[in-house]
Amino acid sequence: MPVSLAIETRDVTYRFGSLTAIEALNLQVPTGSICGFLGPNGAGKTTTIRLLLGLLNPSSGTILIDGQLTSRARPELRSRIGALIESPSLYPNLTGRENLEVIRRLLDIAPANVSEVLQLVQLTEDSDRLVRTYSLGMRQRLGLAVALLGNPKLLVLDEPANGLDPAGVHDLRDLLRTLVRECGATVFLSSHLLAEVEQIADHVAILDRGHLLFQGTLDECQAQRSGFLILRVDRPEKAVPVLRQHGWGVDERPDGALSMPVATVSDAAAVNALLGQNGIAVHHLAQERASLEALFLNATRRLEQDD
Amino acid sequence: MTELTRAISAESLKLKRTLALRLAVIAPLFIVLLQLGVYLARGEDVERAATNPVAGFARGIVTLWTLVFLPFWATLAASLCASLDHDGNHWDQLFALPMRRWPVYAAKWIIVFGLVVLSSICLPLFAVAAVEILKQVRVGWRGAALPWRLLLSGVSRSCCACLLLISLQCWLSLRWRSFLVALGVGIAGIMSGIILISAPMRFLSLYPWTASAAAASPHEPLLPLLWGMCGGLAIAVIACWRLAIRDRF
Repeated sequence: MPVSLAIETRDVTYRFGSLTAIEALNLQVPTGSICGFLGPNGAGKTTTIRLLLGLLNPSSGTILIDGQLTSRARPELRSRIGALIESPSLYPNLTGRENLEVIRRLLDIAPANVSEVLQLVQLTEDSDRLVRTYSLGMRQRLGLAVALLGNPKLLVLDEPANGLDPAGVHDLRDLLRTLVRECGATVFLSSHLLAEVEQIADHVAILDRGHLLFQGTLDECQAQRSGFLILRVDRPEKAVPVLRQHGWGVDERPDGALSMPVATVSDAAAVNALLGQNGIAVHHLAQERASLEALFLNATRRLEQDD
Repeated sequence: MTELTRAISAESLKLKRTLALRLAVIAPLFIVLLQLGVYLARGEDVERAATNPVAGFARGIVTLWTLVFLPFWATLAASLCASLDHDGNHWDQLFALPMRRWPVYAAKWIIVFGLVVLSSICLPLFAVAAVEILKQVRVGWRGAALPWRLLLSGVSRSCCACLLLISLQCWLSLRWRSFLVALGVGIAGIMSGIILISAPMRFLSLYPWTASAAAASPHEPLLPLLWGMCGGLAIAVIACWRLAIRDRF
């Protein structure tokens, strides 16, 4: 059964004059997923988000939202999208509630929606205060409330955790999961906080210099690279040459532990046996999964090496 | 509700607690207070020179308003209204909404015109109040009547002729994020208008920064009035179209 896609781009290219910012992008975000959109600065993440929101017109290619061809000329399709782009766009001379009222009037939706989203982002008590008196975290939550105002089926969030304290990040994570679980919404979020994406996303797309390096589930992403074996031995100076003689790549960490890439559990057993045969005692042996950060750096560095 | 009425409704809410809204009342008040101060200080001289000192008072207010303050206020109002969305980069948020772009720009233009209309309504009201004060202070003023026709027709014609200037200033303010671009052009236009005040009437009628003063004049007000209104509407349509098709980076 084909997977329903909330976002699909087909060979989308965007050029600024002679510079190609996005090249033949084929992004697929399944409906109901939380997709982390990763990439270093200048990768083209914001350009991609602007293309999805119709702020830019692609030089070539097509963009589909919920299977429907979208373009700037068809703004009605954007009623399914709620967006938080970079820092939240708020009017400091207005209260939190009035800021939402501006967007509500533009969207022509029921006034009750304002109170609902204020409650959802836990700003009801502060809703009648001027936004200029809000903390960074409160502004971020109000920005999220603006994005949620039209009951969107797709949330496009650019760095949504910016300025939030750990409790705020935790609340945001819970809120996004609730939206996906209870409202069937799809969340597409770009972030530099790789650990944050790892905790919340079930899909990942990695972009670098306008090219999509990877897209798929987080498990598929991690399967692209084997884990690490972390070893603590009594004589590392002897263990390193022994392992290298038998073809294992091994690095010494500053804390004295040895780190080596291994593919399977049987590799770990083989390493343990080899060290034992050479009279080296193993104090600690643990397999670590590659972090998303390692995968991200690996993917983007690989592209640099290819160049 | 249409997209345009929704956009106007949202735009009017954005004005709450802003300098632009306060200035719509302060600008005409300032002119009237300035003129009142002059007349309080030099009242006897004016009374001796004029047959109807109240008419001179009103004429002075209309001249000051249409030649200097109205063009400057229109320039400032356009820049202040545009800066509401330039500051904090609200455009991306607005244009990500399911609505076309031109109503957003058109609403901005209508709101700026609305502020100028508000000032133009306040000006005669403040002038009446000032005349009442002067009547209490100057015995010679008590029998004089306020030239309503001069005041109302001058102010309303200049307000309509100002549309061309409003459209140009709105275009500049919305196109360039920097406050200085629109303000710089506006001030240069006003200053050159003052310098060229002795130029032929036809030129003053067509020059956007003096068209409102020319329209307020009782001599040949039709050309600047039509030029200002029709030119203003044409420029507004072109500006909305050009701004709407632009990619936003």
